[in-house]
Amino acid sequence: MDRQLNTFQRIYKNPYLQFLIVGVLFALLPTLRAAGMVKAGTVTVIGTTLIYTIAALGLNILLGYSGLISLGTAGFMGLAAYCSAYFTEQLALPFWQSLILALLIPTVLGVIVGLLSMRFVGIYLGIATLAVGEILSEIFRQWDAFTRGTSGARAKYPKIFGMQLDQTGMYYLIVIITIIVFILVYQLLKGRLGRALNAMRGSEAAAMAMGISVYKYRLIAFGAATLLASLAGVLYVHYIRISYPTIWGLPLSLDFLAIIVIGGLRSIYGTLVGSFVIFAMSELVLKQIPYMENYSLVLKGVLIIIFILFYPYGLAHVVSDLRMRLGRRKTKVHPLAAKEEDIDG
Amino acid sequence: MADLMKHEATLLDIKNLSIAFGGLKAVDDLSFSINQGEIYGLIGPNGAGKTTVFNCITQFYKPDQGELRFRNKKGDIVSLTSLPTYRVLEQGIVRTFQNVELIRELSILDNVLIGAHIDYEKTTVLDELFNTGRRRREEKKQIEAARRALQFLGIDHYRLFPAGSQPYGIQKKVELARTLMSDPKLIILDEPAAGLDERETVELADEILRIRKEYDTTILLVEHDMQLVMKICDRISAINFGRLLATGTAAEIRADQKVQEAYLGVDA
Repeated sequence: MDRQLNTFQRIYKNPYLQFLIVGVLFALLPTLRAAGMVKAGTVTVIGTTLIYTIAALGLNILLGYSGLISLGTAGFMGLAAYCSAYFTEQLALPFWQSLILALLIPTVLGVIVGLLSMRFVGIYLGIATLAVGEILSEIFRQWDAFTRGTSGARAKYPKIFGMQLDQTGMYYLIVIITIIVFILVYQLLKGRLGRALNAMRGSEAAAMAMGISVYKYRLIAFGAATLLASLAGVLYVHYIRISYPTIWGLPLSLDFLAIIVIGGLRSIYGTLVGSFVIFAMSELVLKQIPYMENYSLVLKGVLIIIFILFYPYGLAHVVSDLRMRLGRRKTKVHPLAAKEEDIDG
Repeated sequence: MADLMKHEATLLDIKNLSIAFGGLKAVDDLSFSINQGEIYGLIGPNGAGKTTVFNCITQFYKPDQGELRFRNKKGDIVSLTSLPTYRVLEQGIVRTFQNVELIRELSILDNVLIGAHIDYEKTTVLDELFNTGRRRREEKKQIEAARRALQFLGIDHYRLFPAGSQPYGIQKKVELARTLMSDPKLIILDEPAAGLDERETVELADEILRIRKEYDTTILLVEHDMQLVMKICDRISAINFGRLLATGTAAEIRADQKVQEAYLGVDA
């Protein structure tokens, strides 16, 4: 390493510690509410935003790393939500059993879509996944026995380790799972697998010449993306405790796309920040301003255009970009360049 | 006819290779064979079918006819045409591309590490997910190998820069370093000197000779730069319109009448 890090830098640059600190900050929120410093509604909005972050992270693996687009994220998330509601309420399965099934069913479907994706490239993959998403969304509307149609499928706060969670308990569970997901995704993508996905996005020909099975890694990417969307769906239905078919349509899938574009491709924190811009901002900020509430869609659209045109790396790289411009770094290392301490892990 | 692959020295044997695109015969009944440890040149005018031959060897194209046999890392003789593209590398054949194929956003080090993809045999997806000790050891070992390859080509100090930000000459070296990661028996270079200036080309000639020696490997290259080809190649095959014109040493090729006609044209 060309420049030695001092002890303090070693600690605050440790990615695991960073994730932990982020988790602790989010976990402080219910305490702040108890002290009357934030509203109860704010905690719910932020809990929901974290759930959406998990699903968006899955899409980031697919789009950011592998260069494969999906417009079906919301459909898969909804399928997991309905599965979990159905298994726990109608079939009265314990939460853990229901969780495994609700993760497995959409993921298997996602891998099948991955298999079919071998035949599609670029925008055509977008159209194909859009069709899958819309078919799922139509099923949610029509299949009353499974989804309870427009009246909505209800679910309860789960009971885990013999402990019945309440709303705050569920919020803590969401924070813990989000941080675990951050850590696992970070570990999964920082090495060989992340490089293989990157190679596939760069050029499938070059990837194959390097011994990378495009087939295998496409399936892994689709599997990981749907697994995370499913996890988000299960958490959603047990946090909000109701699922309506209208939620799981194309607008939500497009929101996930917007998160990644605005937050930053291939960045965990970027996904988190993007999620807050798209979901928390309209709920927490825009609704406070008269007349603005109705314009949140317009604002999202404008933001996407601005970011694609002027800041394609997304908010994730604001800090390193500013540092570079302010000249604090002597060597100009590109914001997307790997840091060696990351690789050594 | 004697079976060439019976000779211990033969590494790659191409026999009666043909491929057509529509009505155009890009490669027409081409045969030649490469010995272990050789630097072998494939030359020919533009559109002669040189890159097509490369794409057939590396299974990017499936030839219409012909045999491609290769003595792989284990010493077994394999028929390349029976393999999917991504499994050619593990036999011991690695290639570069005419228009450098790097992942622009990744660092040079990461790009080189991609070349070691198949060498991580022991680590699974679960090892990666939970960042096990085995994964960390393997990663460390590969980073050391990648840095050795980068040092070998004199570009280790650039390793943390994104590949896309580097000048063409450096990018070509990164691609070369990447080929060294898979412990190849045959390195196929598609126009390694294209886009390089005179000094860089001289450097490249030296590097290719050093790679053969240090990494104990065989090199097949397509090149337009005749000086480079004549200087470093042990044997050369000249082709035109997908057909073999002549095979021989640099001096023999230079003196061959058919080769001269192909390059200089012939008076009617």
